Amino acid sequence: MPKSKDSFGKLLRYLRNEASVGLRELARLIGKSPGYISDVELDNVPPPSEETIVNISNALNVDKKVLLNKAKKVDPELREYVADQPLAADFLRLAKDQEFSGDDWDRLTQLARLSKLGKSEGEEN
Amino acid sequence: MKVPWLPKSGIQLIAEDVIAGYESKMGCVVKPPIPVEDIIERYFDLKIGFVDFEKNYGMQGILGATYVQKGLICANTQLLDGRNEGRLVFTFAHEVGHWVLHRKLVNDTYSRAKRAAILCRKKDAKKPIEWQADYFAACLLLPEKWVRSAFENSIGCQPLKFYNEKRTIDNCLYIEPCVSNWPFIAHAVQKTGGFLNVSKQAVIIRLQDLGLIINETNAKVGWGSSQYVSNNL
Repeated sequence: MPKSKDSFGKLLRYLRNEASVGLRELARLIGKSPGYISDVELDNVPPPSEETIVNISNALNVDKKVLLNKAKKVDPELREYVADQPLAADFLRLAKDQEFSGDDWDRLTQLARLSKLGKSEGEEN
Repeated sequence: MKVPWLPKSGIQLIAEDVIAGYESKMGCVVKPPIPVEDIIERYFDLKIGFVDFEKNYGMQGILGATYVQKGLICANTQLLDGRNEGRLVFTFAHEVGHWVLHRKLVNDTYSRAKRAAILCRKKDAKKPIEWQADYFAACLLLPEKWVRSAFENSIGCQPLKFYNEKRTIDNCLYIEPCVSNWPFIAHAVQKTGGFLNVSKQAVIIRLQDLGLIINETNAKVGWGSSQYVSNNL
Protein backbone atom coordinates (compact mmCIF):
# COMPACT_ATOMS: atom_id res chain seq x y z
CA MET A 1 0.00 0.00 0.00
CA PRO A 2 1.54 3.33 -0.96
CA LYS A 3 2.13 5.97 1.70
CA SER A 4 0.50 9.40 1.58
CA LYS A 5 3.86 11.05 0.85
CA ASP A 6 4.50 8.80 -2.14
CA SER A 7 4.62 10.39 -5.56
CA PHE A 8 1.91 10.34 -8.20
CA GLY A 9 3.94 7.92 -10.30
CA LYS A 10 4.35 5.47 -7.48
CA LEU A 11 0.63 5.56 -6.67
CA LEU A 12 -0.27 5.05 -10.33
CA ARG A 13 2.04 2.07 -10.61
CA TYR A 14 0.58 0.57 -7.43
CA LEU A 15 -3.02 1.00 -8.62
CA ARG A 16 -2.18 -0.38 -12.07
CA ASN A 17 -0.58 -3.48 -10.61
CA GLU A 18 -3.49 -3.94 -8.21
CA ALA A 19 -5.82 -3.80 -11.19
CA SER A 20 -3.63 -6.33 -13.06
CA VAL A 21 -3.28 -4.01 -16.02
CA GLY A 22 0.06 -4.00 -17.80
CA LEU A 23 1.85 -0.75 -18.58
CA ARG A 24 1.47 -1.24 -22.31
CA GLU A 25 -2.17 -2.24 -21.89
CA LEU A 26 -2.93 0.91 -19.92
CA ALA A 27 -1.23 3.01 -22.59
CA ARG A 28 -3.36 1.35 -25.25
CA LEU A 29 -6.57 1.79 -23.24
CA ILE A 30 -6.11 5.54 -22.83
CA GLY A 31 -4.49 6.23 -26.19
CA LYS A 32 -1.08 7.28 -24.89
CA SER A 33 2.37 5.86 -25.62
CA PRO A 34 3.93 3.31 -23.23
CA GLY A 35 6.95 5.61 -23.06
CA TYR A 36 4.76 8.39 -21.68
CA ILE A 37 3.10 6.16 -19.06
CA SER A 38 6.54 4.88 -18.10
CA ASP A 39 7.78 8.46 -17.68
CA VAL A 40 4.76 9.33 -15.52
CA GLU A 41 5.23 6.27 -13.32
CA LEU A 42 8.91 7.02 -12.89
CA ASP A 43 8.09 10.68 -12.11
CA ASN A 44 10.23 11.84 -15.00
CA VAL A 45 7.39 14.13 -16.09
CA PRO A 46 4.63 15.95 -14.15
CA PRO A 47 1.30 14.17 -13.59
CA PRO A 48 -0.94 14.07 -16.67
CA SER A 49 -3.82 16.42 -17.44
CA GLU A 50 -7.11 16.13 -15.56
CA GLU A 51 -8.76 14.46 -18.53
CA THR A 52 -5.99 11.87 -18.86
CA ILE A 53 -6.17 11.13 -15.13
CA VAL A 54 -9.90 10.52 -15.44
CA ASN A 55 -9.26 8.19 -18.40
CA ILE A 56 -6.62 6.33 -16.40
CA SER A 57 -9.00 6.00 -13.45
CA ASN A 58 -11.70 4.58 -15.70
CA ALA A 59 -9.27 2.14 -17.30
CA LEU A 60 -8.10 0.92 -13.89
CA ASN A 61 -11.61 1.03 -12.42
CA VAL A 62 -10.53 3.19 -9.48
CA ASP A 63 -12.13 6.28 -7.94
CA LYS A 64 -10.84 9.22 -9.98
CA LYS A 65 -10.48 11.42 -6.92
CA VAL A 66 -7.65 9.22 -5.61
CA LEU A 67 -5.38 10.12 -8.53
CA LEU A 68 -6.73 13.64 -9.02
CA ASN A 69 -6.09 14.49 -5.37
CA LYS A 70 -2.58 13.06 -5.54
CA ALA A 71 -1.88 15.16 -8.64
CA LYS A 72 -3.45 18.20 -6.95
CA LYS A 73 -5.81 18.57 -9.89
CA VAL A 74 -9.48 19.34 -10.03
CA ASP A 75 -12.00 16.94 -11.48
CA PRO A 76 -13.11 18.45 -14.82
CA GLU A 77 -16.74 17.76 -13.86
CA LEU A 78 -16.27 19.70 -10.64
CA ARG A 79 -14.60 22.57 -12.45
CA GLU A 80 -17.58 22.75 -14.78
CA TYR A 81 -19.99 22.62 -11.83
CA VAL A 82 -18.28 25.48 -10.03
CA ALA A 83 -18.26 27.48 -13.24
CA ASP A 84 -22.02 26.95 -13.55
CA GLN A 85 -22.78 27.74 -9.90
CA PRO A 86 -21.53 31.21 -8.92
CA LEU A 87 -22.54 30.61 -5.29
CA ALA A 88 -20.32 27.57 -5.13
CA ALA A 89 -17.42 29.62 -6.43
CA ASP A 90 -18.19 32.34 -3.88
CA PHE A 91 -18.27 29.77 -1.11
CA LEU A 92 -14.90 28.34 -2.13
CA ARG A 93 -13.46 31.85 -2.25
CA LEU A 94 -14.76 32.45 1.26
CA ALA A 95 -13.23 29.19 2.46
CA LYS A 96 -9.93 30.26 0.97
CA ASP A 97 -10.05 33.73 2.54
CA GLN A 98 -11.04 32.33 5.93
CA GLU A 99 -8.31 29.69 5.66
CA PHE A 100 -10.61 26.77 6.47
CA SER A 101 -8.84 23.97 8.32
CA GLY A 102 -9.35 20.25 7.84
CA ASP A 103 -11.70 20.25 10.83
CA ASP A 104 -13.74 23.07 9.30
CA TRP A 105 -14.13 21.10 6.11
CA ASP A 106 -15.11 17.96 8.00
CA ARG A 107 -17.84 19.82 9.89
CA LEU A 108 -19.10 21.53 6.75
CA THR A 109 -19.17 18.27 4.85
CA GLN A 110 -21.18 16.71 7.68
CA LEU A 111 -23.57 19.65 7.69
CA ALA A 112 -23.98 19.49 3.94
CA ARG A 113 -24.79 15.79 4.10
CA LEU A 114 -27.30 16.29 6.92
CA SER A 115 -28.90 19.17 5.11
CA LYS A 116 -29.38 17.07 1.98
CA LEU A 117 -30.63 14.17 4.07
CA GLY A 118 -33.25 16.34 5.75
CA LYS A 119 -34.34 17.74 2.45
CA SER A 120 -34.93 14.38 0.86
CA GLU A 121 -36.78 13.08 3.98
CA GLY A 122 -39.01 16.15 3.94
CA GLU A 123 -39.76 15.62 0.27
CA GLU A 124 -40.71 12.02 0.92
CA ASN A 125 -43.12 13.03 3.71
CA MET B 1 32.12 -7.37 -16.07
CA LYS B 2 33.30 -10.94 -15.51
CA VAL B 3 30.67 -13.49 -14.64
CA PRO B 4 31.14 -16.98 -13.25
CA TRP B 5 30.50 -19.84 -15.65
CA LEU B 6 27.02 -21.32 -15.46
CA PRO B 7 25.92 -24.52 -17.20
CA LYS B 8 22.93 -24.33 -19.54
CA SER B 9 21.07 -26.78 -17.34
CA GLY B 10 21.64 -24.52 -14.33
CA ILE B 11 20.32 -21.46 -16.15
CA GLN B 12 17.28 -23.43 -17.31
CA LEU B 13 16.54 -24.57 -13.74
CA ILE B 14 16.72 -20.98 -12.52
CA ALA B 15 14.29 -19.88 -15.25
CA GLU B 16 11.93 -22.73 -14.34
CA ASP B 17 12.12 -21.66 -10.69
CA VAL B 18 11.05 -18.16 -11.67
CA ILE B 19 7.97 -19.53 -13.44
CA ALA B 20 7.20 -21.82 -10.49
CA GLY B 21 7.58 -18.92 -8.07
CA TYR B 22 5.31 -16.73 -10.17
CA GLU B 23 2.71 -19.51 -10.36
CA SER B 24 2.84 -19.94 -6.62
CA LYS B 25 2.54 -16.20 -5.92
CA MET B 26 -0.31 -15.68 -8.39
CA GLY B 27 -2.06 -18.97 -7.61
CA CYS B 28 -2.33 -19.99 -11.23
CA VAL B 29 -0.72 -22.28 -13.79
CA VAL B 30 1.27 -20.38 -16.39
CA LYS B 31 1.08 -21.42 -20.02
CA PRO B 32 2.73 -19.72 -22.98
CA PRO B 33 2.76 -16.92 -23.91
CA ILE B 34 4.76 -16.32 -20.73
CA PRO B 35 3.69 -12.95 -19.24
CA VAL B 36 7.18 -11.59 -18.72
CA GLU B 37 6.15 -8.00 -17.99
CA ASP B 38 3.77 -9.23 -15.30
CA ILE B 39 6.56 -11.40 -13.87
CA ILE B 40 8.79 -8.32 -13.68
CA GLU B 41 6.20 -6.15 -11.99
CA ARG B 42 4.15 -8.48 -9.83
CA TYR B 43 6.58 -11.29 -9.02
CA PHE B 44 9.86 -9.39 -8.70
CA ASP B 45 8.16 -6.11 -7.76
CA LEU B 46 10.40 -4.21 -10.16
CA LYS B 47 9.55 -1.16 -12.21
CA ILE B 48 9.25 -1.22 -15.98
CA GLY B 49 10.41 1.65 -18.12
CA PHE B 50 10.63 2.57 -21.79
CA VAL B 51 13.56 4.76 -22.65
CA ASP B 52 14.79 6.30 -25.88
CA PHE B 53 18.46 5.72 -25.12
CA GLU B 54 19.58 7.36 -28.33
CA LYS B 55 17.55 10.55 -27.90
CA ASN B 56 17.85 10.90 -24.12
CA TYR B 57 21.41 9.77 -23.55
CA GLY B 58 22.99 9.68 -27.01
CA MET B 59 23.65 5.97 -26.61
CA GLN B 60 23.39 3.89 -29.78
CA GLY B 61 22.36 0.26 -30.14
CA ILE B 62 21.03 -0.29 -26.64
CA LEU B 63 18.11 -2.70 -26.47
CA GLY B 64 17.51 -2.64 -22.74
CA ALA B 65 18.96 -1.96 -19.32
CA THR B 66 18.68 -3.18 -15.76
CA TYR B 67 19.14 -0.53 -13.09
CA VAL B 68 19.90 -2.68 -10.08
CA GLN B 69 19.73 -0.12 -7.31
CA LYS B 70 16.59 1.49 -8.68
CA GLY B 71 14.89 -1.87 -9.22
CA LEU B 72 14.13 -0.77 -12.77
CA ILE B 73 14.09 -2.73 -16.02
CA CYS B 74 14.01 -0.69 -19.21
CA ALA B 75 13.49 -1.45 -22.88
CA ASN B 76 14.29 0.84 -25.78
CA THR B 77 11.21 2.72 -27.04
CA GLN B 78 12.34 1.88 -30.56
CA LEU B 79 11.16 -1.67 -29.91
CA LEU B 80 7.61 -0.37 -29.47
CA ASP B 81 6.84 0.11 -33.15
CA GLY B 82 4.58 -2.96 -33.30
CA ARG B 83 6.83 -4.98 -35.59
CA ASN B 84 9.22 -5.88 -32.78
CA GLU B 85 6.90 -7.55 -30.26
CA GLY B 86 9.10 -10.66 -30.10
CA ARG B 87 12.24 -8.61 -29.69
CA LEU B 88 10.67 -6.38 -27.03
CA VAL B 89 9.45 -9.32 -24.97
CA PHE B 90 12.79 -11.09 -25.39
CA THR B 91 14.57 -7.94 -24.21
CA PHE B 92 12.46 -7.85 -21.06
CA ALA B 93 13.12 -11.56 -20.45
CA HIS B 94 16.83 -10.93 -21.07
CA GLU B 95 16.85 -8.15 -18.47
CA VAL B 96 15.09 -10.47 -16.01
CA GLY B 97 18.02 -12.78 -16.64
CA HIS B 98 20.42 -10.05 -15.59
CA TRP B 99 18.34 -9.32 -12.52
CA VAL B 100 18.27 -12.96 -11.46
CA LEU B 101 21.77 -14.01 -12.47
CA HIS B 102 23.88 -10.87 -12.22
CA ARG B 103 22.42 -8.26 -9.90
CA LYS B 104 24.55 -9.38 -6.98
CA LEU B 105 27.67 -9.06 -9.12
CA VAL B 106 26.68 -5.52 -10.03
CA ASN B 107 26.08 -4.67 -6.38
CA ASP B 108 29.47 -6.10 -5.46
CA THR B 109 31.25 -4.40 -8.34
CA TYR B 110 29.56 -1.03 -8.20
CA SER B 111 28.51 -0.81 -4.57
CA ARG B 112 29.30 2.90 -4.40
CA ALA B 113 27.96 3.82 -7.76
CA LYS B 114 24.72 5.68 -7.67
CA ARG B 115 23.45 4.47 -10.99
CA ALA B 116 24.71 0.93 -11.23
CA ALA B 117 23.24 -0.53 -14.38
CA ILE B 118 23.69 -3.28 -16.90
CA LEU B 119 23.32 -1.81 -20.37
CA CYS B 120 22.63 -4.31 -23.14
CA ARG B 121 23.94 -3.56 -26.59
CA LYS B 122 23.39 -5.63 -29.72
CA LYS B 123 27.12 -5.78 -30.35
CA ASP B 124 27.82 -7.33 -26.93
CA ALA B 125 25.66 -10.40 -27.57
CA LYS B 126 28.60 -12.78 -27.46
CA LYS B 127 29.94 -11.64 -24.10
CA PRO B 128 29.36 -14.27 -21.38
CA ILE B 129 27.14 -11.98 -19.30
CA GLU B 130 24.92 -11.27 -22.31
CA TRP B 131 24.93 -14.88 -23.49
CA GLN B 132 23.77 -16.05 -20.06
CA ALA B 133 20.94 -13.50 -20.01
CA ASP B 134 19.95 -14.51 -23.56
CA TYR B 135 19.89 -18.18 -22.65
CA PHE B 136 17.85 -17.41 -19.54
CA ALA B 137 15.37 -15.47 -21.69
CA ALA B 138 15.00 -18.39 -24.10
CA CYS B 139 14.39 -20.80 -21.19
CA LEU B 140 11.87 -18.43 -19.60
CA LEU B 141 9.85 -17.67 -22.73
CA LEU B 142 10.18 -21.13 -24.27
CA PRO B 143 10.03 -23.61 -21.36
CA GLU B 144 11.38 -27.00 -22.40
CA LYS B 145 8.29 -29.02 -21.52
CA TRP B 146 6.01 -26.75 -23.54
CA VAL B 147 8.38 -26.62 -26.50
CA ARG B 148 8.77 -30.41 -26.61
CA SER B 149 5.02 -30.86 -26.36
CA ALA B 150 4.37 -28.32 -29.14
CA PHE B 151 7.03 -29.92 -31.34
CA GLU B 152 5.55 -33.37 -30.83
CA ASN B 153 2.03 -32.14 -31.60
CA SER B 154 2.98 -30.13 -34.67
CA ILE B 155 5.99 -31.91 -36.17
CA GLY B 156 6.33 -35.34 -34.59
CA CYS B 157 8.16 -37.41 -32.01
CA GLN B 158 11.49 -37.56 -33.83
CA PRO B 159 13.92 -34.65 -34.21
CA LEU B 160 14.10 -33.08 -37.66
CA LYS B 161 17.38 -33.27 -39.53
CA PHE B 162 18.31 -30.69 -42.11
CA TYR B 163 20.49 -32.26 -44.77
CA ASN B 164 19.88 -29.57 -47.37
CA GLU B 165 20.07 -25.83 -47.37
CA LYS B 166 17.25 -25.37 -49.87
CA ARG B 167 14.19 -27.40 -50.71
CA THR B 168 14.76 -30.13 -53.26
CA ILE B 169 11.17 -30.77 -54.25
CA ASP B 170 8.95 -28.01 -55.62
CA ASN B 171 5.28 -27.76 -54.78
CA CYS B 172 5.39 -30.55 -52.24
CA LEU B 173 2.47 -30.94 -49.86
CA TYR B 174 4.57 -31.26 -46.74
CA ILE B 175 7.20 -29.01 -45.24
CA GLU B 176 10.47 -30.41 -46.43
CA PRO B 177 12.99 -30.31 -43.59
CA CYS B 178 15.68 -28.00 -44.91
CA VAL B 179 17.34 -24.80 -43.75
CA SER B 180 15.31 -22.46 -45.97
CA ASN B 181 12.06 -23.87 -44.58
CA TRP B 182 12.91 -22.97 -41.00
CA PRO B 183 10.25 -20.23 -40.68
CA PHE B 184 7.48 -22.73 -41.52
CA ILE B 185 8.72 -25.13 -38.87
CA ALA B 186 9.12 -22.38 -36.30
CA HIS B 187 5.66 -21.05 -37.15
CA ALA B 188 4.06 -24.47 -36.67
CA VAL B 189 5.65 -24.91 -33.24
CA GLN B 190 4.92 -21.29 -32.29
CA LYS B 191 1.24 -21.63 -33.16
CA THR B 192 0.77 -25.04 -31.55
CA GLY B 193 2.58 -24.07 -28.37
CA GLY B 194 1.01 -20.62 -28.04
CA PHE B 195 4.41 -18.89 -28.08
CA LEU B 196 2.78 -15.80 -29.49
CA ASN B 197 5.07 -13.23 -27.90
CA VAL B 198 8.27 -14.85 -29.17
CA SER B 199 9.87 -14.44 -32.59
CA LYS B 200 10.21 -17.33 -35.00
CA GLN B 201 13.94 -16.86 -34.81
CA ALA B 202 13.91 -17.43 -31.04
CA VAL B 203 11.76 -20.54 -31.53
CA ILE B 204 14.08 -22.09 -34.11
CA ILE B 205 17.17 -21.36 -31.99
CA ARG B 206 15.48 -23.01 -28.98
CA LEU B 207 14.49 -26.04 -31.10
CA GLN B 208 18.11 -26.50 -32.11
CA ASP B 209 19.30 -26.05 -28.55
CA LEU B 210 16.92 -28.76 -27.36
CA GLY B 211 18.11 -31.09 -30.13
CA LEU B 212 14.74 -31.11 -31.86
CA ILE B 213 16.25 -29.62 -35.02
CA ILE B 214 19.58 -31.00 -36.13
CA ASN B 215 21.29 -28.97 -38.79
CA GLU B 216 23.73 -31.08 -40.83
CA THR B 217 24.47 -28.30 -43.32
CA ASN B 218 26.92 -25.44 -43.04
CA ALA B 219 24.17 -22.85 -43.45
CA LYS B 220 22.98 -21.00 -40.39
CA VAL B 221 19.36 -21.64 -39.42
CA GLY B 222 17.26 -18.63 -38.55
CA TRP B 223 19.04 -15.99 -40.59
CA GLY B 224 19.56 -14.48 -44.02
CA SER B 225 17.59 -15.40 -47.10
CA SER B 226 14.88 -17.11 -45.12
CA GLN B 227 13.48 -13.71 -44.25
CA TYR B 228 11.58 -13.86 -47.51
CA VAL B 229 9.84 -17.03 -46.41
CA SER B 230 9.28 -15.59 -42.94
CA ASN B 231 7.51 -12.54 -44.29
CA ASN B 232 5.21 -14.65 -46.38
CA LEU B 233 3.85 -16.73 -43.51
